[in-house]
Amino acid sequence: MSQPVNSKRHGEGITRTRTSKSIFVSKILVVDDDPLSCRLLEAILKKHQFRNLRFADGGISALEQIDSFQPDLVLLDMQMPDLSGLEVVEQVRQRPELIDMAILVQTATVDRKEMGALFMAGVSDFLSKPINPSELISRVAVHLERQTLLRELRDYRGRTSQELEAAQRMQSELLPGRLLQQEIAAAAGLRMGSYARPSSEIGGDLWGLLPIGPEEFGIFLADFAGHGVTAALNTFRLHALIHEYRALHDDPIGLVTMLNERLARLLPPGQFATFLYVVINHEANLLRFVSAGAPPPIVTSGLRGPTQFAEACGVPLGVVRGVEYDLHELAFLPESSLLLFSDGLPEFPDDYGDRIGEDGLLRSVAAAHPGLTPHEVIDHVCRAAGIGSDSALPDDTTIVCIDRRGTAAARSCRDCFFDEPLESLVPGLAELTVLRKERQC
Amino acid sequence: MRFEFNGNDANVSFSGDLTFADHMMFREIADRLRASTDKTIVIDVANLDFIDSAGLGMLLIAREEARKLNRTLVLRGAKGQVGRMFGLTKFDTLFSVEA
Repeated sequence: MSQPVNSKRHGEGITRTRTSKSIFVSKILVVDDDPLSCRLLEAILKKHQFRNLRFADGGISALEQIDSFQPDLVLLDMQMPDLSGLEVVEQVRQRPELIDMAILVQTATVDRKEMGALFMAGVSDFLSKPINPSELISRVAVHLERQTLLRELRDYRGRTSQELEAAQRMQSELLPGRLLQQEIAAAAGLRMGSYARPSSEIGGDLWGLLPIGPEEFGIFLADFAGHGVTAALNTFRLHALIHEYRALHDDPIGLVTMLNERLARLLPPGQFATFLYVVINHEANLLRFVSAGAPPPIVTSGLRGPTQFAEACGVPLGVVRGVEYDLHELAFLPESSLLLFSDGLPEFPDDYGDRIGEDGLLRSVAAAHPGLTPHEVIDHVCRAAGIGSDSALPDDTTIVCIDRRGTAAARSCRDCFFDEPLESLVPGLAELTVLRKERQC
Repeated sequence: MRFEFNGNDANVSFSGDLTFADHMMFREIADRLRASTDKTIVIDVANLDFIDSAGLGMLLIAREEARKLNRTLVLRGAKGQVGRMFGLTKFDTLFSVEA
């Protein structure tokens, strides 16, 4: 960072080759009770293009000028009648907004103990008295350059984090909103709950609902390897592709095969997505599903189980072209439930570094009380995996719970369900209300 | 993750967890595997306890490199969660997977 100083001629005309011009408009406050010293410093600084200068003749005046002028750098004399330089430094450094302001003290002292105390108080650097012009300009330039770089970095980070926030909003808009979830759930006479949290601002998980017809709908869950920007951009690609092949939404093999062909051409080696697509037919009480390397969903059949994996395997999307996928079918009777999840859930390391794993997750779902709402089931499995509301997630984590338990009861009182305008207005109340109605019916 | 070359540069054993955190180390291992002259490259994963999707991605990159050099990549001895992941993703259709 410290670029050597080039001398045009010996002892004067110092320019810095890499320094941006912006340091010459930086604000410099010169604090000295000796008018002659002030004039000397002014002359040297002006000669080297530093023009934005102000002066203070004591400690109190210095603090006032720091408030009004907001200098980037202060040249501070140590011995002043009202406040000492050390006291000025201590007061300035107590204020967080001034923590980066460069403070260069001018001192004739060589007492190492005193110098140590000044550094401890927050002085940025020393200028030995009597002032040597080359030393003054070099040190001023180094500190202003450092500050400029720091500011640029901070601006850059601020901008990046704003852009990431915007990207995060866009990504969360890809996911089915509460209304769509409620609409599809009501039409199919079941209940639905979801949980989606990226590990950083944006992530590589994506899930969605695909309306097909009066008897069935599709649900998919994708997980791009890795997380962060690359994985997130890939979720946008996949979302666009899935909606491009609308005609294949009722054909799990056709859809997954087509997505694989497209992604295999788009993605470089090492990038891929695991993908699960399930078509739920609530009239035929049937699940049809295809897996491309996704964790198998968990199905609980009936109120007392059994609870088991809907086993399926397949090469993840985007690895190679020409993969043949298998269609699986499984009964999905009323009173059954289905849990889809990304690997962030079973692979979450708890406080002891232990992962619940697929088998632990299966046991946890099996132990969940059948009266729990989908959101309560999700809370239950998160707790079992050790995921708290404020846990830092090492991987993107998505969970979707679909519940047909109590479907018959829910259907018989569907009219009273729809008479509850509060449900759509107050998120989270919906499940509770349905549960209560079921008990009443 | 820990690794150990078994006498030659085309045969390496992994142990522990293979996750995103290991990608720099994996890069170095892949360079050494590439520098070997054997037609068959063996990665022994019998003592590998855990692999995540980033780990699978690294193996897929190694597979692509081996394919370009017209060599065979063998994954040997997968057990437990690693074997389960290889099964779910049908890695046996992509690699030469040996017991």
